Amino acid sequence: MHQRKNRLISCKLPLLTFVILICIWEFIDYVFQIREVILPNPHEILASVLANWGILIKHTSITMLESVFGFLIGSSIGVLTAILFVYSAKSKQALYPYAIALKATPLYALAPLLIVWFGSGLLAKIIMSALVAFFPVLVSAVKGFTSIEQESFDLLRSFSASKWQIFVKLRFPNSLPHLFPALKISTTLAVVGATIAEFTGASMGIGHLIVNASYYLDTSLMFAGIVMISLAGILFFYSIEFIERKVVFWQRTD
Amino acid sequence: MMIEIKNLRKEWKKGDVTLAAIDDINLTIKKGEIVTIIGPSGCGKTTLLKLIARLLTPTSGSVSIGGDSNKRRSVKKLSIVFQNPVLLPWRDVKDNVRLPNELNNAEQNNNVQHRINLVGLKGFENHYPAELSGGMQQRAAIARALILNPGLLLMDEPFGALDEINRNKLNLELLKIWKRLKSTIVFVTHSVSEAVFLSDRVVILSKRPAKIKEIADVNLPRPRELGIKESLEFQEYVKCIREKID
Ligand SMILES: Nc1ncnc2c1ncn2[C@@H]1O[C@H](COP(=O)(O)OP(=O)(O)O)[C@@H](O)[C@H]1O
Ligand SMILES: [Mg+2]
Repeated sequence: MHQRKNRLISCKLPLLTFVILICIWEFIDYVFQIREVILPNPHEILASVLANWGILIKHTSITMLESVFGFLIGSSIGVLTAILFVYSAKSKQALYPYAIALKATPLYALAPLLIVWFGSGLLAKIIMSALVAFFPVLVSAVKGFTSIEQESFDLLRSFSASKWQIFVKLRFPNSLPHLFPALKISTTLAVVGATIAEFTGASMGIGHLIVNASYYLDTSLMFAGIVMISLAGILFFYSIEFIERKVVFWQRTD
Repeated sequence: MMIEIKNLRKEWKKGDVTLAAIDDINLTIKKGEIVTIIGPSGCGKTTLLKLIARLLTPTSGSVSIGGDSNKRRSVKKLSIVFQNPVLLPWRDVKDNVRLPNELNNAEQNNNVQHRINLVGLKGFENHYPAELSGGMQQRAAIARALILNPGLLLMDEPFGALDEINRNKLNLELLKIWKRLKSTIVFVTHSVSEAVFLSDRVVILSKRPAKIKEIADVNLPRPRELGIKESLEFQEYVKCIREKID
């Protein structure tokens, strides 16, 4: 009961911030009479969202489809690679430093190359998404599988646990509190990855819609696209957070 | 379960330097005996316990448990309790205690409840480790160690992190449990009073590399109550042993 009340309060304040920002935006726009092409009013953006609802939903869905697939593929491969690293010290030594380095690299620069290689369909976007989602998940999964006290291993070994049992009953659950924050980061990276790949070459998706709208100087529609993909990205992020709350009930990491 | 330790030696290698932790230990522990091991910190007590548990392989010499000196750990024979409870935070008390059953595909759910009652955690079956005090966590660890009816219980300073009152309480309960289950107990401690209270024999180790400096018999009557610590005889034992520790 108490908690629900707290959550309501924690919802109210951000909402207030939002309303105030919108008011300031409207006010500045009114005072300085900024043209719609340069900076549309919030209400003009809203009008554009409503007028273009159908195509916005269609393009947002495409981008989210790419992002979700990219995210799933990238993070799965991340976890699997982490398992490889845990059980093969050699491969970890050979590859892990690069994984850590690439985690902080703007892989988005590869987008044009991916379009050249895989065409302007969905595949290139999914690969871009997967690529940027992969590294944070890999690094935190390795951490999660390995940052375990020696005593815990000794305990399980003293009960004759097999390697498989040690993985299932110790390493894997131990990795979850490390894994989920990385998964959440990767949702946002995946959406950015897909959108940037769409900027580079696409006939569908929100990135394509924004680029197209810019050719027609339809700034309101550009903003409408940004609003839609942001909302979808936030939804994506919080759906993982929702799962995290259910799964990692024993530890709060934030 | 009888334990025979023969010419046991363990070295650690750090680069070119070899560092002996255990040097030529010979010790026979009778079935059903409580033996405590005491010695200066860093002397090799944990190493010795891990060698007995076959979590480490000796550099030379051998440890045989119940006449079985093969290199593989044999199932269900022994359990360890560490200084930290080492409970899995994502499992409640019941599931932590059940863990050894799962690892050995043994289905003995009645035993789980029985062991939880035995260590005094009745009513806390569904609590998670984070919701328990240090003493209660260690009780859960003991219940887990008892689940497979081990013939040998290895305890590495299990109550070292507890306050005096909790430590005494658990000492007393350990003796009660021991009386019922009749397992052999090897107990590492740095408290002389705890050692005398629990044991049939106290093994005093030297500084590293650990050698047996002396073995003291404790002939206090059983069952022992906490009051025994006030007796002159008890204090005589404590004094005698304390003098021999480096
Ligand atoms: N895994 C290890 N590698 C190298 N040296 C170790 C290792 N474990 C313990 N030692 C060393 O062996 C000695 C004995 O350690 P330990 O058995 O833990 O002592 P105690 O339990 O009596 O305090 C210490 O000097 C310690 O540094
Ligand atoms: Mg120790």
